[in-house]
Amino acid sequence: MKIRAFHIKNYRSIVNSGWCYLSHDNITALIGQNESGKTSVLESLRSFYEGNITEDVLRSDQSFPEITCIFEFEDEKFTDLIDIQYIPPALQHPLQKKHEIKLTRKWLDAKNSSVEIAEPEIIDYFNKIERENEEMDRLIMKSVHELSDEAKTIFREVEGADRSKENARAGLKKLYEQYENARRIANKMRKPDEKIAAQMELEKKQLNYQKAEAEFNHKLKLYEDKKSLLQFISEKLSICKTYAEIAGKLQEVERDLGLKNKQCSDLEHQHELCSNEKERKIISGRIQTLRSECGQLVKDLKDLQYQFAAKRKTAAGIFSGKDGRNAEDEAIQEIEEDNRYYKPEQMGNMLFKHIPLFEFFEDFGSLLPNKIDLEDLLNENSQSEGYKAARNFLGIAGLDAEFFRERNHRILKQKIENLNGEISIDFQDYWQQNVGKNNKIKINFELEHYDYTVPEKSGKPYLEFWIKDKQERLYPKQRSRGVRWFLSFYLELKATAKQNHVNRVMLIDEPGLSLHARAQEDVLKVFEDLKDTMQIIYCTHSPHLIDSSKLYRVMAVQRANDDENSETVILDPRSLHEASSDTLSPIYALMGTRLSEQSFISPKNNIVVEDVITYYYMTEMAKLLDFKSDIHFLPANGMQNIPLMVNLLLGWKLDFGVLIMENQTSQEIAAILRKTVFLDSEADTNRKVKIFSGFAMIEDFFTTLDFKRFVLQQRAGITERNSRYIEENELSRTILATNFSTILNDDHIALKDFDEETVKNFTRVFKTVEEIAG
Amino acid sequence: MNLADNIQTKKLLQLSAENFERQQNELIESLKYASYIQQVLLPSDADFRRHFAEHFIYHQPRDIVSGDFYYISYTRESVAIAVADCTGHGVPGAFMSILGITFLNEIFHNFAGLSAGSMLNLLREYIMKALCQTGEDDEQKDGLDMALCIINKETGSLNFSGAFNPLYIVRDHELTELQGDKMPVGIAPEEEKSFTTQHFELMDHDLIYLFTDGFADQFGGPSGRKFKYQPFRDLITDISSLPIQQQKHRLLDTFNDWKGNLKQLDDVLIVGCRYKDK
Repeated sequence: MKIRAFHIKNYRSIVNSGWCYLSHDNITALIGQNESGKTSVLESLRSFYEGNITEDVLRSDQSFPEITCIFEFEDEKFTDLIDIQYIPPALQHPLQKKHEIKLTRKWLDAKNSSVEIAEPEIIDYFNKIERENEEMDRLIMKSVHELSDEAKTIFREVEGADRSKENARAGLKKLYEQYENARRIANKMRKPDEKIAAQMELEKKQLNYQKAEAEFNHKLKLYEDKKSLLQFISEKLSICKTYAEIAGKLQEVERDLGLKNKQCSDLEHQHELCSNEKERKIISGRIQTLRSECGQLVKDLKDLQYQFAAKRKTAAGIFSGKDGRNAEDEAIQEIEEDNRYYKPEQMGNMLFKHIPLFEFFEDFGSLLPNKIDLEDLLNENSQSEGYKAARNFLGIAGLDAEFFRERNHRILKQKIENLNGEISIDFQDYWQQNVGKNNKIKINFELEHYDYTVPEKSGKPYLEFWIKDKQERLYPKQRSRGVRWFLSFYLELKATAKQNHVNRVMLIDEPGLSLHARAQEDVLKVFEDLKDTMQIIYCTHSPHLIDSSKLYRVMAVQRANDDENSETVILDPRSLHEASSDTLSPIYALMGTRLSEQSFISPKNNIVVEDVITYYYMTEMAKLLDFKSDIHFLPANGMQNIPLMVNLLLGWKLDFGVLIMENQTSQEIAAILRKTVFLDSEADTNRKVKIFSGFAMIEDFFTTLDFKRFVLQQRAGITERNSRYIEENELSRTILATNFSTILNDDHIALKDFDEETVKNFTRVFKTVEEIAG
Repeated sequence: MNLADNIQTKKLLQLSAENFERQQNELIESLKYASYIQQVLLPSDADFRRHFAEHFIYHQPRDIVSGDFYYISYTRESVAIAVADCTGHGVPGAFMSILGITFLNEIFHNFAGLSAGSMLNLLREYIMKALCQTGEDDEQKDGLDMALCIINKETGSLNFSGAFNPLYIVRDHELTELQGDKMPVGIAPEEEKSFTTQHFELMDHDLIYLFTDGFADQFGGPSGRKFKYQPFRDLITDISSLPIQQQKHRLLDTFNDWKGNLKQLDDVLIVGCRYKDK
């Protein structure tokens, strides 16, 4: 995996960086003034990887940092990193198609953080579940109240029904007695008319009894119904109440755990400050006890969470009409099923294992020692002086313990000599500087043995390091700080690159501070060479550590306004022109530096142009137009400096011409030249000084469409001249010129891609240039 | 529902209907007024007559206001004619047409000597700026389809540039088509490209036709299909021998016959001019 972008929140002066995309070719430079927040960017990425923050990282509002990185898959697929069967089915399909993943590290407090997968589908999915659970909680709690009220009402109804049933039963009994009585009377009657009357009375009583019996049965049923309803509601209520009780307990345990964790960290702080050994022991004991209590609480919490989820689902099942037993069985089954799947944090942790290794280099402190015992080296004794640099050295040379087991001293010496040669040649590839005129330095190591002068180690092998040139053979410590720094840097990065079994992100703060400008460019060369084996993010103030043809690698870091307490803003390469000129000063300096590298003044055909920007457009367009005349453009750093430049050329007896655009000062400059250089000769002035009318700046030579496509790289409508648009929008002409140069070289733009009118304008200007040069 | 409720409901319905009718009348009045304003912005017959004694403008909007517009303007050396079709018709189209006419005027008079292609390029910049089009996904993609020609009054040299719309020139019953570029005057789906300028040397009596797609795209005829461009070219060639005003009537009759009882789909605009050598 490869880091593609980062998004930092609440880290020192960075409130919200927005998404910052790293250069696609693995080298990203952060430029900006001191205190702008460059180092904070690097440190936040280190914190993302290591999970550690210090108190000084926190902002005044005490909000904890949140850092998200996007990692791009290279050869791997999502399914290679996480077993898909443990992903919730609804997420399996979208995740399988992913080519990159977002991981967020959030801090819960200064010591605890967690990494979560931050893919929108996953967040949405779990948020949805969370919302559903919340909704379920709300419904259950609401139902508890409603059910309690309902239970009270039904209870009263049951009581009423019971009373009514009992009354009916008493009435029935009475009627039965009346009926029995009537039946006895009817049996006793002998006279037909009395018998008929008694029989009628009996039938009436029987009817009354039957009616009363039916009513009684009805009331009995009513009573039974009410009673079973009460029972059903009581069952529901009981589950809801258990759920509410568990919720209460859960909160209680969470609160306790928070409290105990806080007590624990307070005690840890006390422990750090305490100097009294006895007290420290007591505190340590209390910490131990608290930790074990916390451990138990975490266990309880997990149990309660499980029970809580089970009761919630059971309650939900009951409310949807299931009976208690079934609802509980199904709830447990569902929870078991849910628990099979990874949660965002688990997924985050699993993916985190596959992200590149982030290494932070503040200073390459481990300098190559003068000598180191072979025993220390082979036993990985990191305490021995210069261990890391020496280990890196052996790593680059590809040496291990086996190498030194060679018994034949002559063969061993020869092998070492060969290796010394190889390493020196490789190092010289990067370190271009010479000691004296043409004297390259070499790195050597030798295997020696202690003699009698060191009796305790006598006969034991050690490695001795030298940095040699033609004149001198000196120990590393005898060399300049710059050489030592570069050597250390070279060893560290080269050794890291050799361990190519894992991807790495190198975070480098201010590399090459103590180096000469040329050596700083050598640092850039090392980056270039290693960019296929690692990603490099570095901060710099130096123009020599920026490649002007690769401004897509540059991010500008600056404060939102002049106040040094204002928040940090990070501008990616597309928005570089929005950065302040102070922030961009390395780039401005760089353009000047590049000019100084050219041997562009010649005895003939020197054409003075207004500024560096004009120079850049003219040279780039000359290449495109295949303008091969032997013309040398000289930038004058502003219109006002043209007379000075011309006078210098005159003084050196160099041939020259002047090409300027038509603006407020062009006529004035032409007049000065006529007077001071051409001794008021109109003809000579007209021959050597050309004012290009209709164009205020070189950028006006482009049609609006070409200006937008190749210079501005935006599609907004422009109705004014290009020069006017630049001025009105306060755009940096330098950045636009480098954008142009970059797009021309990287996107393989050809002349045919330009509008006819642009080509016509530049062709005209080059014809004029040829005329001036004569 | 009792009788009193029924009466109350009826009254309410009646009131709503009256309200609706009143609002509709107000809307129609507003649109008529907008149409009047639009007419004022369009060049007059006299503007055309100044340069082309023989000409016709067949403009049949679908709604009260139109998204099609025509334009004529001139300098000492040249005369520019344009016919355009704005995104949408009705009110949105009318607003765009006002923008188009205003920008064309500004460009033609402030940037002398531009070719037709450069004029369309610049017009596109104006439109993109006015509509804040920058290529973002969620923004308006409105624009114009247009045919624009600039004729040098001295030499009869015509240069043409089209945004989707072509231009026809008929000489001695023979039609020459100058095709437009396949992009609108407005933000392009992917990348804006320069409009091309085509040149044509006019001769005395040549007929120039500029038009929008309303005529050719109208459904009708016996099988209810589109009129299409080949029949439209044939029709133009056919009527080119007629006196200019009769040409307009033939176009009008043909369109109405073709449309029959079907609904007019879009605004229809055809401008025809006869070039006269000086």
